Amino acid sequence: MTVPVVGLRREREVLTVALTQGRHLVIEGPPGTGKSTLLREIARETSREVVFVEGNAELTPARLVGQHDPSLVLHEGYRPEGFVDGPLLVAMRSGALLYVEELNRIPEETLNVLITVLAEGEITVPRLGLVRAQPQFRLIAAMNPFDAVGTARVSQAVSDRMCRVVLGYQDAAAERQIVRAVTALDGPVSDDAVELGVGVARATREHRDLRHGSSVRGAIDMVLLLTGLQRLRGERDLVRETALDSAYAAFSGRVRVQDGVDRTAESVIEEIVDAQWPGEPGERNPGKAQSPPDAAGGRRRPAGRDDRSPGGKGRTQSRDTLARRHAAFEAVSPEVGALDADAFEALMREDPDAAAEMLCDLSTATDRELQAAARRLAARVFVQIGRGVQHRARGTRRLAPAKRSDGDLDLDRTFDRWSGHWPPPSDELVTRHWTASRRAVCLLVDASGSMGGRPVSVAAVAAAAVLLAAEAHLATSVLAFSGGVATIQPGAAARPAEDVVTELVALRGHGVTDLAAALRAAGAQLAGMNADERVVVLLSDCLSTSGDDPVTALAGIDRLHVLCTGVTEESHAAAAALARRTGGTWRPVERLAEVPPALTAMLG
Amino acid sequence: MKTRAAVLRGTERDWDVVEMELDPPKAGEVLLRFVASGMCHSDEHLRTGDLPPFKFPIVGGHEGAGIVEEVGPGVTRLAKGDHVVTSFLPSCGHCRWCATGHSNLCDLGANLLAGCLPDGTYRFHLDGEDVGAMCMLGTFSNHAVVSENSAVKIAEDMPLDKACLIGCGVPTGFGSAVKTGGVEVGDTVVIYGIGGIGINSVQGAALAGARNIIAVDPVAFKREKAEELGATHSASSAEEAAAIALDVTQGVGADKAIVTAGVVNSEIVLNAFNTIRKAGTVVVTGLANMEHNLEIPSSFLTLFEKTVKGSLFGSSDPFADIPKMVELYRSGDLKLDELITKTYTLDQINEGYQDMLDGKNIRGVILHDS
Repeated sequence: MTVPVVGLRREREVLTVALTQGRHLVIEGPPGTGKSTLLREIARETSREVVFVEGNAELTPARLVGQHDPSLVLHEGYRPEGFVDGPLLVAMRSGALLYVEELNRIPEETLNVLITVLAEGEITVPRLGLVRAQPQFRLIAAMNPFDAVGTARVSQAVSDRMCRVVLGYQDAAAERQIVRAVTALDGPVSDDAVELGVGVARATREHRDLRHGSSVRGAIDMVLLLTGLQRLRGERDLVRETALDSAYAAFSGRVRVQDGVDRTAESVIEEIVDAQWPGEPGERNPGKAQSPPDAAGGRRRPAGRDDRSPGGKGRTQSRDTLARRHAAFEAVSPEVGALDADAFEALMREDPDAAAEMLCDLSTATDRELQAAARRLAARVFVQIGRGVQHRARGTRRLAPAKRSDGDLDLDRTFDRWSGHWPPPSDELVTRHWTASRRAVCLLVDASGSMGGRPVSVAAVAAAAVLLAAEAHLATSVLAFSGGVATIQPGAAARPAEDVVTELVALRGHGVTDLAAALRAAGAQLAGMNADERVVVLLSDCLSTSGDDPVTALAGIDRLHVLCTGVTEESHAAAAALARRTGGTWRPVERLAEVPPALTAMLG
Repeated sequence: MKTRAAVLRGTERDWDVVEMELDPPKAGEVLLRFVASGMCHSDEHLRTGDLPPFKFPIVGGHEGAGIVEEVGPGVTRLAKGDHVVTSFLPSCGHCRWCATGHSNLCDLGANLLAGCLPDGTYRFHLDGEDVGAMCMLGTFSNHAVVSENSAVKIAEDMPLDKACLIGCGVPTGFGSAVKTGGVEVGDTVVIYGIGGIGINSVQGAALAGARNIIAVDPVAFKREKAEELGATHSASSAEEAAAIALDVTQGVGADKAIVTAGVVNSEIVLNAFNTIRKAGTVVVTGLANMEHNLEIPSSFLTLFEKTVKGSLFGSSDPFADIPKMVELYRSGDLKLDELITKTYTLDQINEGYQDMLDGKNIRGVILHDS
């Protein structure tokens, strides 16, 4: 099936030129944005051969580069003729395009093979020697930035050697054109069906209850199914039930409902189909038009009202209040809008905890300039303290030999061990496997009323520390909780530690402590990550005031470490008991300086 | 001194931005440098003739915030450098109305449309002619001299470009619901017209604990804004609103209706009157042409003991309620940033009013050059 590329003119030009200029490329975009179609078209236009590799967690260096044929090696020893080229070498030797899909699903060790290829156009293969790429050799990789499951971050060493082209979803008109072009191959479809299918697909991407929506492929499937069902059922106009049947089939497997949202994909799709139903707004409720849309049914609670609870978002503090609370306020902010960094540093040397606590308070000043300056300073100061945490380099998956009958054959080791009998007995074969050392860490910050003011600065430092550790290939997330749970840093999207700290310092403790709900949310957050060990660091006084017993909510958490902010014995006992359940550790943290050593002990 | 200001030279004329002469402050007056001015519909009413000033030309603007640059003799409430919000109603503090808790009706308000200061003279002059100032303020001028009874001191850390809205639109809308309307916990309130006033009636009703807040406006953007700031329902027409009000009150009718339409007419007030319950209240806050009369079914007024009330400045007290609104902003309860759709320079004033008339704005704000 060939379908012309719709739109994407600018991206196509950049891609074509980048290739002729000898650049390697990564194309980034959600599924269904035309990455493969675009690439195939460019390859055809430039008459290039394409070598295709699908990226996944099982792609070992040997599978990418190639390997010696084991039986030839055993018979004749290592000889160049016995080497079977993998896709990388095939592409390099023939000067083809190497197209690697799902780049960010490939293990780091395999990706590292690409570094010298990208930089120097050559690779040294053990027992084979140097292989140079033909000048026309190019690498094009594709990746899905929103892919939360099973993806890792591509290291700087690799991404620094490639250009990047981002493809977004196309606009509605272009998507309709794509759907028409693809579906037309199977016979005529109605404009109404195309309009509805594309409308539904697009709405799934915006719906608040959906974690991710559908690509244009969902629209294509819906239009084909809808057209077929209409023919089968003898319907000429759109019928709601038929539309729903086709929409369920096309979309329910493609979309994913947000964690913690208590509804099915079908109910969301039904809502979207009704909202997208063609015609006047008044007739938008086909089949259930008896009640006025908003008057009946449950009362809607607008978002504006949630903010209205005292202590809610947006509460700021006057200069008078700040001055009353902090003796050093006048020195640090002598007038409206001013933040004297020197005065603050002096205070930081004298009493870091008081200084940090004040800085957190200044981050909620009504005084706009002061607030902004305080948040900038907080990001710097807390990130700096957070850097004090020592991390051993770990987290990269390694291939290690093991005596198992699956996995890739480790020829060298098998050779050493081989007694010379043919065929080699199974206990003389050595294979290679991924070792488990990738960790995902979720920092869980207690933002309930019992947390008071000072722990905010402790939380900010802890978050900075955990996120900075992410640069050493830990997948991290940060959640804040009181009665409910708010995601501050989801595991999939990487934000600079400074941003997260800025958000955290504006956080104020309020409401009840529901540890169980928080731990469940952390477990759910970690479940979506590609990790061998799932670790939660809980920053709390551990005194649950609401919800279930926290020990019932440890599913999916391999290890729970506790930074205990409480000072009472009861609080310490609760922290110890909770950590012990998973073989984790706990430390009391009252002062900022205690955070880095505690985290080093837990994560280092 | 010289100042730049937007003046109206007659009904249905555009605003002219001109340089004019400004006298220094006399006894009881202060010189203000305005930082920001809200663009209220009442200034547009000056232009259309719905609210005719006693004489043209007149400097527009009555919703301002600025900084005191100079004080005249005998000024006790303010000092140089103070940050102030101007109140479009002066309040002397000791006339009969001020003394009985109706400072929004202070006798000093007599000169609001004459635009002269309490002593009967003018500080703005153009080509040798006295020029009045809207509500004795003229906030569409970079500088103005106002009575100390018209300026309320606020904390210096309150951003002035947001605070200006507390000079008129916010307390008027808020007070129309909370003070004039007396919205109580559990009430059902219908608000007709979601502009710079109505949106604040929504905020006031929500903070006062209304159970249902039905925002009525033909413009979708304004309905969504109302829902963002606390409306539980929105309707594009009075009929739709009446159906919702009856539905959520099991046929009893809304407790309060607040009419904040840009130009009030009989039809809206009649719809509001018919949507409220027995002994319910209609608050009329929006303005209409001075010649315009309302018609209300008199029997139902009598038999159902309904009330129709006017509301000036939301029955608020400038010196008590403006500082209170500042604190409500601090606590995150009162939203101001969300009300400002767009900011303009003084020279863009006609464009700003056109945007308002086109329904693009909740509130436009003029930022004066500093």
